Amino acid sequence: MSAATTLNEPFNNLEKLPHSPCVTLYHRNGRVGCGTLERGVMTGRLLHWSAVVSNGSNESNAQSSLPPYVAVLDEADYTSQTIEMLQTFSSNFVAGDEYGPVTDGGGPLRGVLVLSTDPSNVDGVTFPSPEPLTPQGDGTPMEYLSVGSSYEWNVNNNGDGLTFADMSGVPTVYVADSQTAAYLRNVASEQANSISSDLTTAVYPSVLSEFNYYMGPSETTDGTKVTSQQCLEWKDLDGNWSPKCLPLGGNSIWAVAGTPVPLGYTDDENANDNNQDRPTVILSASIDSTSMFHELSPGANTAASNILSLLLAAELLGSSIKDEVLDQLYSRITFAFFQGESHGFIGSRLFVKDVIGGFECQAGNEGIPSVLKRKDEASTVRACLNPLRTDLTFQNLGDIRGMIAVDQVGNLGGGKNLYVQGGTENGFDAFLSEVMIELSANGEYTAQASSASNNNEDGTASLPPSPVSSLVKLSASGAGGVVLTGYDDAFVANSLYHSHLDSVSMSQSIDKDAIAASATLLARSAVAAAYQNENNEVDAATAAAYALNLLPNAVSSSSTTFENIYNCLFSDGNCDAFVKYASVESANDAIHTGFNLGIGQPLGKPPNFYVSVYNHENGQGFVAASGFKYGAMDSSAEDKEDYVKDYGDNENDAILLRPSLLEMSLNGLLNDFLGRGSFVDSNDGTAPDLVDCSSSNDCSSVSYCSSSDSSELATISTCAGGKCICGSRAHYHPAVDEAISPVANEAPGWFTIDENDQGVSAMITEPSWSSFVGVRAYNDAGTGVGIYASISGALFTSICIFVVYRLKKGLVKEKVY
Amino acid sequence: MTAPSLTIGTALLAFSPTLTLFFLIILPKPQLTILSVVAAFAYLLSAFGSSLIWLILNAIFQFSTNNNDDGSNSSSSIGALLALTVPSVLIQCIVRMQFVKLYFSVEDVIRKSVAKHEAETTQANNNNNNSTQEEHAETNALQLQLNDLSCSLASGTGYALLHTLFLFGTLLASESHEGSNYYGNINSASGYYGGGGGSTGHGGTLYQYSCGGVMPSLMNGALVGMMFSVLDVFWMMLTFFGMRRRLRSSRRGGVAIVGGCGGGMLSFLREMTSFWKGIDDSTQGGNAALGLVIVSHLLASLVLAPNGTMEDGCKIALPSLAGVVVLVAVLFFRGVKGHFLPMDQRARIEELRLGEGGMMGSHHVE
Repeated sequence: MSAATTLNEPFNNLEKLPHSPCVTLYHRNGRVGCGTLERGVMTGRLLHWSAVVSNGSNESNAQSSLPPYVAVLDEADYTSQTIEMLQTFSSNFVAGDEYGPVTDGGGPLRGVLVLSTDPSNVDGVTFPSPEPLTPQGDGTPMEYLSVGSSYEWNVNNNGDGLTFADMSGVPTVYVADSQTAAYLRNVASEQANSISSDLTTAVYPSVLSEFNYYMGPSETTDGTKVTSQQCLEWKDLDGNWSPKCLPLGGNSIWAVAGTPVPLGYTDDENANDNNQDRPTVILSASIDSTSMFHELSPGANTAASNILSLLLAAELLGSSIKDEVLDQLYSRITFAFFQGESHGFIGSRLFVKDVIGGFECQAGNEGIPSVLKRKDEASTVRACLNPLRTDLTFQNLGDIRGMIAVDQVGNLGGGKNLYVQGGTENGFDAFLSEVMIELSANGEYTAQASSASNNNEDGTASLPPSPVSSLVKLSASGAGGVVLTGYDDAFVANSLYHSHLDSVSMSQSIDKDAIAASATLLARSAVAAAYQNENNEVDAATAAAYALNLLPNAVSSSSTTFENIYNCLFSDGNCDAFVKYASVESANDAIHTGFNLGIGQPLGKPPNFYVSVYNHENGQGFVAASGFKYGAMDSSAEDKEDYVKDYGDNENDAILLRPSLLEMSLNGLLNDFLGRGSFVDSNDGTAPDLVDCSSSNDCSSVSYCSSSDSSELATISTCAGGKCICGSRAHYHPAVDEAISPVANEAPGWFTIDENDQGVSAMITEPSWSSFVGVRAYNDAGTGVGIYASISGALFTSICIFVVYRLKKGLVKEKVY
Repeated sequence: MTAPSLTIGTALLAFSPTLTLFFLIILPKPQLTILSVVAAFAYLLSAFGSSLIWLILNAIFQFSTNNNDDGSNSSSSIGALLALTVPSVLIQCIVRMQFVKLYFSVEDVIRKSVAKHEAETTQANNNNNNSTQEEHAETNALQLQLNDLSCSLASGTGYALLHTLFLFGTLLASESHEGSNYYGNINSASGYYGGGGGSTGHGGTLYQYSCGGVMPSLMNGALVGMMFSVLDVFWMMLTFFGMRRRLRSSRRGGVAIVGGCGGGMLSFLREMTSFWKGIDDSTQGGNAALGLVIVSHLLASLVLAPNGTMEDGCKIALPSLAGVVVLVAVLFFRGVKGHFLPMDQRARIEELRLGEGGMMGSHHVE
């Protein structure tokens, strides 16, 4: 049956109103988002919000009772100002019991339905961004993580910070289906008109909406705010530890161009020290987005365009430059796709911290093989059991010399100017800025230095929210970077920053050529940056010329690769291409671990870039040992249970990971694109014909892989996207808040706060959902109709019985019965 | 889910006429129960036929609408309504008449069998010099169970019961099914949920355009279902009456039985013109009864049109339908009073009365 759109037809109820709920999160200091006050449902009649507020101005009888209502508003009106007006008005009254008993003590405002805009009325409507003027800056739980936290990047989008409002007691959902929205809009307006200015009258029948969205409390019974820590360490009345939330997170993906980095720990003194000592220049992007509504984070401009641009840069690099050339550059080029960046730079901070901060493994210090039964294989990834790292290869990445991030390059506001944020000081980041401007000087799309004012206390430039902030904040050596953006000193007007409408199928306008130009610029800039020598003696013009020489061709927005990936990232996240790459990754993992965990969370159609909760179904690595699963493992712990055995006691022990479809696809795509530099051309100088494969098992006999040095890693072929490619260059890195760690010897999903928590991370968690959450709408007939019906039915039945009884007597009397 | 009080109340309204007839009169007599069930099956057949016609005509209307260049529906809604209603009414008429014809055939077989049995027992008793009065009285009583009055009532009840189920039962089901899992789980999970009817206990009530400002759809549907069930009983009884008169005529060498619906439509329609002469105990009276069935059924269907096409159309439809019910009831009672049963059945009853008086006993067979 198709989705219901009205309540006017039988078998067509709105029992399960198609909707997307408001995001609710806990953070280090409290709670944001929506939800019912208690576990009970919240119910009210649908009224258009404007009628409520305007009628409310006539009400003077404070603290009197009002029939409960649900405010209905169009998405363009869904601002913090509107919500504040509604909450303020509601606070003057108590909820009546006309539509069911109210035990939570809340006001008559029982929820909010946000309706998608009538498609015929979109023109001229401005949709606000729910983020504050200072995204991830002042006034947010991430304010300590941003560089220039007071800078108002979101000023052109009327950002009002609704994202960080605590709307406990105001359950809110978004109705995307236009027909359902139109119906609800009409009902709300008609009902508002029918009560005129008298809000105190309960009219029957009325269409009600009922919310079952309990997302946890704002405060405990003693009045203290509930935070992520309390939520994670929640103990039930019986004293049992029963976490009520999970951290947000997933996996970041990183990969190097050129010869692969040695895998994890090695005690081989003859290993390629030269390669390990090379610093690295990171090209990075955020791969997640967010919005006010769960499952509606299309992130066309804030995630998809960044990912596409960086992927195409990797493809350009891998297919244009041989490994041996890249290996000769002073710095290694690393591509990094960071997860969870919209919620406090989760992925980039943990990665940077691990790489430059010196990760300390407490259990498995020598870097144990992630799969014991394959411990003798040279290609086996090494891991750490506690804190769990499924892959320790990052330890051999070398110092981070600088970072180039990309942000919002899909919407340039109609222009053809890209901007370089940061790089205003002398140093490597200034060199990066100069190189990027130099490289784009003659292109259709040019890059300019941002005009964002240097308003930081120390006179440095503010950086927009990007992984570069993590590097700047965490780098003890002062490493920095630049951000290539599609905006100058503030986000482009009406760019729908972190809005549920940031989608090509809705209101977002994406410039494909801008993405292609960004990709070209990123690839060339990466080469130029890697070309820079140890003492920064190469000037920008020379480095740019060198890069241009190696990469004379530009990325085309009409290429097959561009179109295929564009379709996956902007339209159909579960596209065949992504599924194929992810399936192969899954099969490859199964060869090594013996477990095929399948593909993780789908990206969705249309794509949803909202980062998931972090558990073993959604990207949390875990240890499978002796029949148990652990989020981390320390068999030497004194207080461990008897069933916790040493890792490796069982031959099937393994360290497992089930990333999302997007993460797995990115892993495969990076292996594919960057592995092309290892191909040995055919005798006639053409590219080799690649062998088809479904997993790495099919690639053992390929002959077109070479290595420029003694490393065997580039010659070990693997399967990516159905073709045998050379070397495995892509790696996962956990993306979870730096202050939160899985508890050793406990099942995945049990987390604790680190003893060494420095108190700066946002520590975002999401409350666990009941399986029964939902919203429905229905007609409430009131009690009268039922009573009348039952009385008249009973009376009529009595009459029928009497008449038929008399009839029967008559029939018998007439001898016809 | 609709409030239980409304569900129960409307169900009582819709099903009371048929269910009281069924439980108080039909069910105690197995032969009537069988007849009732077969009549219900006859309704199923007519519904199937009507649906088939509806599907075909609807497809044709859709096709013609789509082919209009200006996109407008040039076929008038009244034309479409008639095109859909008339065939359905005729199909129901045909099925009813065929059902009654089948019943008469079965009755004939039973009667012959009884006659043969009586002849054999009479012969045997004559040989043994025993009395046959007792045996004949029993068979007479058995035959009386198959009189037109009780049988038409049983048939009409079965037909009406299924018709009401189709008319109202589906609506009732739609209003009762929603959220069964949702409610159950919520209740068991939290203990706070309001349960059926939402948090108010009286939510989930369907109101439609046709009657939204007057009453819930369930009430509207119940009233329509109730009135049609009454009409169905009358129509079946009138069909029995009419077909019996036509059968008698046929046996006298007159009009072919069910010549209209089963055979020549023209001759049937010609016979129906005797409608205005009124319902009496003649062949024309039988035809008039059948004509009344068709005309009143058509009328009942057409007066319901505002219920689906006008805002609050039930304000017109329900009183009009009630008017049709009253009209049919009046015409029925005036037309068949004193001669609903055919002559032979009346004679047997008289015979039984006389016999009963002589024997001081009852031959009422339960």
